[in-house]
Amino acid sequence: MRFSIPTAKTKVLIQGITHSSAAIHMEKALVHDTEIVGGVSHEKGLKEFLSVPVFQTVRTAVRKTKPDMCVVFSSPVRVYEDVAEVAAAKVPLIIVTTERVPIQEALRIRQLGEKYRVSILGPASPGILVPNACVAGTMPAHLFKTGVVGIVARSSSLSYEAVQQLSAVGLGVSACVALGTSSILGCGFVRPVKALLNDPNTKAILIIGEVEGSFEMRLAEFYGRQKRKKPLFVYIAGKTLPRPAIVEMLGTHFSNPADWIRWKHQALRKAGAQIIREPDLVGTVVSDYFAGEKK
Amino acid sequence: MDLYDYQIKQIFEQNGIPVLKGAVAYTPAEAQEMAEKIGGAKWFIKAQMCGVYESLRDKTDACRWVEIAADPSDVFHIADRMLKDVFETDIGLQKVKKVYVEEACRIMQKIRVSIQVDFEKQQVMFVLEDQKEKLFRFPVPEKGITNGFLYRCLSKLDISYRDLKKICEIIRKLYQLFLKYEAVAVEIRPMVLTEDHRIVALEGRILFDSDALFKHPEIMQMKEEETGREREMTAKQNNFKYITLNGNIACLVNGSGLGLATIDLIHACQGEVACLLDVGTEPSKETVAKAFRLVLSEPDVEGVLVNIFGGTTRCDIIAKGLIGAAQEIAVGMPIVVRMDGTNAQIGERFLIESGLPFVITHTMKEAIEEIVQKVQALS
Repeated sequence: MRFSIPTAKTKVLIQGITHSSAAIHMEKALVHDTEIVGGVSHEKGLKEFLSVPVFQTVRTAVRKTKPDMCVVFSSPVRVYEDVAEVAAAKVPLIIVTTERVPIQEALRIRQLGEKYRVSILGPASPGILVPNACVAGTMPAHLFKTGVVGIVARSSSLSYEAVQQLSAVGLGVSACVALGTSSILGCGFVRPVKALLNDPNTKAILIIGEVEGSFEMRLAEFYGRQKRKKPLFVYIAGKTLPRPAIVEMLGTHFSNPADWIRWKHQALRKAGAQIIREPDLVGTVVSDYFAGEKK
Repeated sequence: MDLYDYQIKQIFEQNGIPVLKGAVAYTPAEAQEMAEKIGGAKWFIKAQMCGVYESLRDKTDACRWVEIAADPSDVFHIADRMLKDVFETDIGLQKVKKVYVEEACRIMQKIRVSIQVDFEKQQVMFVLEDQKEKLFRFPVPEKGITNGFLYRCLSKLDISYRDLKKICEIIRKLYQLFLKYEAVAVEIRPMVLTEDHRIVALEGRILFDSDALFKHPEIMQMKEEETGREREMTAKQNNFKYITLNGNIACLVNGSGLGLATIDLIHACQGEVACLLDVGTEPSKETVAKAFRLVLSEPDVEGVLVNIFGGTTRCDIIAKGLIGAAQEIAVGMPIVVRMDGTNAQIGERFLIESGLPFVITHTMKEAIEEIVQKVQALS
């Protein structure tokens, strides 16, 4: 499954181009030099939208425009069908922006990725952003400065917080990838981090995780095995949550979020990552590293 | 959010999963009447409580939750005692408002089964606990739970072929239920083999997915009738993510990760969080006002922290919502606002021009130190 960091040449297709929030984000993406090659809308007769050619089916759009990735705007009711259409057309990377997707639906979306061997970000992912090159999804490009830190995050607003802190210490971002806030996700940290390790513009990687799930554990396993590393910084949110948001089921034990995060921290530290303890320290920890580099 | 035991049993029954004969009662007299109607010589009486199920109950005082009555007047007395009782549960103190009267049975064997979404493995699992309380976990194949799959899983059980067939049938029905309601988990804990050779679900549990419930209004209705936790219902209706804790600072944020980080930092600064409300990514000013009123209505709140990082969210809209709500109700507690990102300066200007007592700060850390200090100064 291919996952590479987009460039200004990356061709983006928009599924659901007439969806209410698609237009707003597309306009911004176009301003920020994103190569949007086409859109898909089931509305009959629509040929063009914001000067982008519109197709009736994903199949035709893919044949005519050969996109590298597709951003899906859809409602929780239709999202599976909309993603399935894109996956079947084998677009290598699919971003699912839809929020509040039912968990069983998210599982089926995840299975699409495995079946068609494509990477799926989301559900509830704001997408990928490479400053001045590509805005695929809903991230606010005006907050980002070009730089050397690659970010992979679960949620959106906390990653913007990190971006702001990096800007404040004079650092910028090489790419920002958001996995999504759904409990079931198409893609974990491993594939984006692998892509950032291969990305020439990225000098350090910042991970913003969350207490739930074991995505950070998979990352620790992967990163520990790598020979060619880049510095990896990790902040995981939610250690003082009083109880896990996901309740007890047969065979799972109530685990205390603090223990859960300690366990993740341990694994990541062992793999060679540096842990950032509090959310307000992201900027300073990363900049201290670069200051040390220079000496 | 869970349903009551008796509601789960209704759902089980409607979907072909065998349960014991039983009925719900609101008064001791009613309980006795139900027992007589159900017939038999002995009855289980179960205190009905939301979000309380086997494993939790066992940890506390199990004997207060379920009792056995040997004649109808016993049923009356036990029900009378239970209906005056108050229990400490996961979601706070609950008064018992009803009991479930059920024909009693002698339990010969006991197993537990669960079909659940495993968030670590990111797939559906079938979990089985055998008679000796040993756990087995099986990933459910893509084509679902078939007899072939179940025979393989259940071969671990020391049980006759006839019973095995019955158990398979029940588990397949349970799986259909899992799919039908798009649940996160459906469980029978325990499933028992009775002395008179029946196999029944003695207790069950369905963990619903709040994002899928809009497709199942009948369940929504059951919940609305029963839970009556007003603030959480309001949060649900407005699509807010809402968590309550035990402290005195209310937090209003946009985005789940930012919310978690905010709580972490408040705790690191020795503050205590009362509740966390996530307004989502693109709220209208009316939605923001509702959210603000909601956190202000939490009884223990002594101060509010608004921490917004505008990406898709526009800070000017957040500001308008806050002002709108604050103009309506006189807010007698400190409110610290931190806004950054999209339209933050416009938002801050609105807040200042409103003349309302918002305290404006610039970084997350500053805001948190400010609110913690202000709330501590009050006490």
